[in-house]
Amino acid sequence: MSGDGHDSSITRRDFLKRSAAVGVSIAAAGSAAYWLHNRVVSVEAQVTLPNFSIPALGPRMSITTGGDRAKTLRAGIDAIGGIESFVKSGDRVLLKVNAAFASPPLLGATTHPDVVAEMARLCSKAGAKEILVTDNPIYDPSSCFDISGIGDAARQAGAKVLLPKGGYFRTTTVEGARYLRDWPILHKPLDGVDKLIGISPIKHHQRAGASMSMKNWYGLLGGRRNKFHQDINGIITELAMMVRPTLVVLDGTAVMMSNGPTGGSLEDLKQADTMIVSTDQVAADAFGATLLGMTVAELPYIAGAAAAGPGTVDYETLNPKRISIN
Amino acid sequence: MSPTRKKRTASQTVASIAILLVLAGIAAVIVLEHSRAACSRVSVIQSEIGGIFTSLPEGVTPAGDLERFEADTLYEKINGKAELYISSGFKELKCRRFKAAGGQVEVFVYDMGEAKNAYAVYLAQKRKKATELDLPDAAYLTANALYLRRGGYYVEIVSSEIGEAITQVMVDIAGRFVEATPTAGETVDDKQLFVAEDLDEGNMTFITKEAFGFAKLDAVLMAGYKIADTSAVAYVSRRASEEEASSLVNEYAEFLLAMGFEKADPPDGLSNCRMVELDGNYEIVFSVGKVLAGVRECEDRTAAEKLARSLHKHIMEVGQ
Repeated sequence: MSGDGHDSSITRRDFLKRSAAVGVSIAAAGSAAYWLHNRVVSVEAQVTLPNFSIPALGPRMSITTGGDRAKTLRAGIDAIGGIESFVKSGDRVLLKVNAAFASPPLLGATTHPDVVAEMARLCSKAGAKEILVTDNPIYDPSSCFDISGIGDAARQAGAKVLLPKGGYFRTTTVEGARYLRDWPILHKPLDGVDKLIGISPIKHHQRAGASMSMKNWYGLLGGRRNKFHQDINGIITELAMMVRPTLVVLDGTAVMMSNGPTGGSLEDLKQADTMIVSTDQVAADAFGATLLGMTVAELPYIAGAAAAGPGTVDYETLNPKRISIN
Repeated sequence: MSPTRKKRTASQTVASIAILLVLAGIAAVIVLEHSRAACSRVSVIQSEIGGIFTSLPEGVTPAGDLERFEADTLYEKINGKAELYISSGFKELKCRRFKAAGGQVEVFVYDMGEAKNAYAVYLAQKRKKATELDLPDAAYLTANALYLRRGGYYVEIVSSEIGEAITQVMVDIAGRFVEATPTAGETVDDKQLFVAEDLDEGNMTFITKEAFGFAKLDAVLMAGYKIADTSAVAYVSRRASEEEASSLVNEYAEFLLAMGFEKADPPDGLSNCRMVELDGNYEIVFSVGKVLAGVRECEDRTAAEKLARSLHKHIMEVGQ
């Protein structure tokens, strides 16, 4: 008994009751923390993206110069076999654009609406059953698709714009990847699609050095993806491992040479008037780097992607068709 | 009461309540952070202006909400460019789109905390084809955008169109921002301290802290020079006192020597001057009054000494 007259001893029953109460509290707190931690909304079973490339066609590439995007795109695709080589009647086609910013087309920070419209028209001409357009910008998707002009251009060309929603994500694990393990991706637009075409501008990027075809797939990632900025070359390499597109279009009509990825001033842009179309996204980016005045060595993810999977840094081995449209 | 049930003491009660309050506080913080992460852009609609300008120009109307971004959410608005600002002392971004002159204008107001930070990001992104504007503290126009720094703020006003009318709107908005933003009049732009001959004005950088790896060297303005076939970098840094500038010269020189540089005889006629060399690269550092200055990254000793003498003489002439 303590000096103030109180009995300070505790019975076994009291001890067990209190211990049980503490244990339940800890378990409840821990469960709540686990439930709240990095919650991903509406994530179902894992998916693996199919290979959308057409190996039978072999590697192909065209480099078309000219100031009219619709014309250079058409000529570029015709030069490597025409749209019918890539899109068959009845195909469902997804156009993955770069709609990362609510920025007007003039500023070159997003895929140009003229390219989206023309590609949608070409796919429609080839008999595509459905043409979808999507991206998962971090900023408000509706504003991004609206102000970039991509939304209107796609709809007017008969395509359907799919803005990301909570239920559109599924997790994926890329074999051999360090970062893309159990990671949510924007899967709904890809679900049941036969062909995947990436369309992106060529831009300087403050973090990555450049933003081109392979960086475009960043817009398929969900979750707190900005954490990958710590190893931007590593994540872009893994994106190239994750996505095997049918075709990539690199729009070098107005290249963002500095202050990327947002730009903002027309002085950031250089009129290079070049449209690249390729089945090989590594080769496309390797050539795109030259329009930025950069070398492949300055963009480690290009060599990384070549080492990790199909694709070559040496784009000349693809015997690219070079065309000029006046 | 059961004879085995102890009566709680007052101290036990107080301790229990304190623990419960701490746990409740932790839970509240977790819930707040979680909901903040899920809805990270805060629309602050206090007024159309949101404290950015004094008023809107005639014919200009909001085209979206006033938005606010902090360091952990800035990437949502400007993606990979966020790091440029965050590494330079970024505090907050307020931005809003407006309809004007048949197009749209978006205004970005970056609160960089201090004038030197605003200067750093202003200079880091300064476009070469620029029309200087007569707006304090500094501003310039390009074909479709206006860039301004004012005290600790860096402002970008970007239009979706090109044209005289929309340019006038941007200039008007910039003027209203300047009017709404008093400053302490801090001097950060010391471009005038550089010698004009062989200077590459488009190649200037402002380092806010730890210049050249030396922790004590902050607020350093660097400029590139092309002297015949040789290139060099000159730098100036305004210190709080002559004593500080003088002391820093020796501390910086000792730092370079500790990094493996070797002593070299400094050029004649330069006050408080030290010179070092490493693998054929020369560096000269000196002080003139409150200004610490120097030349670095120069492979030609004669060119380095000549530039250092010119820089020293020029700083003496223009005053510190």
